[in-house]
Amino acid sequence: MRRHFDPEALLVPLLAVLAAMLVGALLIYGIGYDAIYAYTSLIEGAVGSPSAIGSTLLRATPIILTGLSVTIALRAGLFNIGGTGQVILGMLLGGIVAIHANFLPGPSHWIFALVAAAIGGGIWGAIAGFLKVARGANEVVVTIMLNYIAIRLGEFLLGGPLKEAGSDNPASAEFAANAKLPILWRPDNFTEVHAGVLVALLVAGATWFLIARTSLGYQIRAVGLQPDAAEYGGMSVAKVTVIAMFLAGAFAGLGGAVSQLGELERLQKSEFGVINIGFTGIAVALLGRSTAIGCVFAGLLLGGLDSGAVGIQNDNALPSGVATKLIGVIQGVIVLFVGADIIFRRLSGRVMGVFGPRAAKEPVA
Amino acid sequence: MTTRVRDNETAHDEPAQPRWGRTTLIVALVALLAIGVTGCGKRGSTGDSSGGDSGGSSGGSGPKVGLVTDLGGLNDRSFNALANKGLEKAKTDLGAQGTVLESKSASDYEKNLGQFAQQKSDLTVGVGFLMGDAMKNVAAKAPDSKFAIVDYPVDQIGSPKNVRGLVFKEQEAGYLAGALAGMVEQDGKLKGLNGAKVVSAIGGQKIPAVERYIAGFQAGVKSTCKGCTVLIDYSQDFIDQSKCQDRANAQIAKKSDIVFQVAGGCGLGALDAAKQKGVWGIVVDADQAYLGPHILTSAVKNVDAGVFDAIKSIKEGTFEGGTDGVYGLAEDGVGIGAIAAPAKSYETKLTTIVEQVKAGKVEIPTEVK
Repeated sequence: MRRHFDPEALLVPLLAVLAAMLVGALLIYGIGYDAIYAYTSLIEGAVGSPSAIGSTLLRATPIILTGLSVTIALRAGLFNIGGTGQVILGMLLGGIVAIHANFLPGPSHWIFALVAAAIGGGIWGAIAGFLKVARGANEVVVTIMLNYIAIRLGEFLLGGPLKEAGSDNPASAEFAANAKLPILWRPDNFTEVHAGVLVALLVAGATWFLIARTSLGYQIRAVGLQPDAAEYGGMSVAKVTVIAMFLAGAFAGLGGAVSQLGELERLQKSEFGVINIGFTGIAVALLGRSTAIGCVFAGLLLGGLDSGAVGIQNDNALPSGVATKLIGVIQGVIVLFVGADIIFRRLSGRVMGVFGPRAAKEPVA
Repeated sequence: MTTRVRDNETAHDEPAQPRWGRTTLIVALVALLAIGVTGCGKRGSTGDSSGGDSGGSSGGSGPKVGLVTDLGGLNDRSFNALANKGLEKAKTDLGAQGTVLESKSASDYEKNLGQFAQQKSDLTVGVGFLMGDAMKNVAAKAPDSKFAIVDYPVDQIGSPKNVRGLVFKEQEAGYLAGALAGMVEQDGKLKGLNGAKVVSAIGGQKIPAVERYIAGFQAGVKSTCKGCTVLIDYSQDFIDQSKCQDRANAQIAKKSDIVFQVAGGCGLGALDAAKQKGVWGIVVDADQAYLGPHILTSAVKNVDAGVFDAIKSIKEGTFEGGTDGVYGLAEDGVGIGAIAAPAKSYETKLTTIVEQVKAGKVEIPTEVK
């Protein structure tokens, strides 16, 4: 398969990031602080040391997975806003296996826990897919509603059935030692880069292969581009929709489980209401232009910004409490600009109009 | 699937013409703009690692202190904000150098605590019992660093020698709020009272700190109003305001005319219910008299006093790990907030009760009866 490299696929996200950083810089000056110092701290916090790189990898891992979740659904023409719910189902099922399936020997325990997480998230996603094909229910609405159901389900389970016996805290018992993800790299005493990073990369590779090299992937793309034509071409739109939503849910479920089993000791009730990696996944997918490889880079970038926020706080480059909000603003503006890429297209069209009109393109997998 | 699909190419024709000319130009333009904007704003002590006047002041030459917030963040108007207030006071009074890291997810706790341990902070403070696991792990990996954890008794994590728990006698604050509520009910003179002598408390969850508040409240009410009834309910939630609003409405329907909320953000819903129904509310943790004239008073927990005390112990070399610092009324660790204007007349009586509690003359239960 041969493809021409399309510089514009890279250009729009790049411009969006630069523009967002500019907006961020203006904001920093606006509140009377030094943007260069803040950004130096940000870059140091993201990539300035082995520890910073480890921290960036850890923060990127779950959002690469939720980004791939949104991506695979988008390629099938579906907007998966249910990342939060699918993440929670992954955390819950992965967590239950990690706590209770002590009969699983050695590494099979964590592997099976991740499989359970993928299945849990997958089923949660497939519900939305099924309701769409069976009843025509809009997947956007259904996935949003399923998020709330998942949050309440998690809170219910941690308030009762899953709560550690004899404890006052609304949290589960500890995960079994075998269920914790193996540590791949320790840049310092406190940063432990776990196997979740590999899981994210593997899933990204598998997603690329699936979309670009398999019959199912072709069907997903065909359904995404024009469902009627796909149906006419002999494909089952219903089947592809449910499968795509299952995969989307499974990826998000993995995203929830890798952080949980890699970095935490137990499930806590307080986590569910504040999960944001599902929504960050949308930003990752948009910034990554709905491609698998794009998600990896977008995830690393947004993960790096998160890690950089720690750098800013650490250097006291901005007042306490402002850094994390600023990063939120920058991420939001990135998404805004990526979403509004028409602005850049117009702009570039004005400036360089001599190169002629451009065709709408399906992004490279 | 009956069709065998082999073609993996996209259906679209892609323009073969490279666009590097356009790309480069735009990137260059943006880069120029970026340099221009950041360049002209450059000033002062750029790159100065102490932050100088460009950054938030990190304090003087005293102990280096790191503070890790929980998911509520610094603007929670409660725990985290109060802990930061304690740190700010230590910067001013003790010359401490303070740095704050906000946590955005549960997996941030260990990263953030580890960050400070890595940098050899003299003291790393974690806010809230949610950080128990992370504190345990980091403290074990950094035996030479010192830590303090707010609202968490250290015996729950095996009393590591380098961790001090900062816990509060919530029952004393609850008792004072209850005593005031009891006096108000007994007299029945304030507007909004129905004469039924029923008050109520809503807890977020049956966790120890909440139970201590409510147990104290219960005892306090009974101490000044023998015939009063105290209704108790739990919202099972610290965030969702509608849940506390529902519970409060149910209690008000049962004739409660003073509602004590012990449920953090959720409790704001209970106070809304009290406002709408024209009855009284009592706030928890931070003094929130600003919420309106329906706030009778606040049962406050001065997290800042505990944090400041821990930092002071570092400066003076008296830090003691493996055990808890317990902060009550006598240590200014808990207390009662501003009292609503119509109830000001009870202030003198309340002062007497405060003195009695401070002197240890009152036995206050820590478990709800």
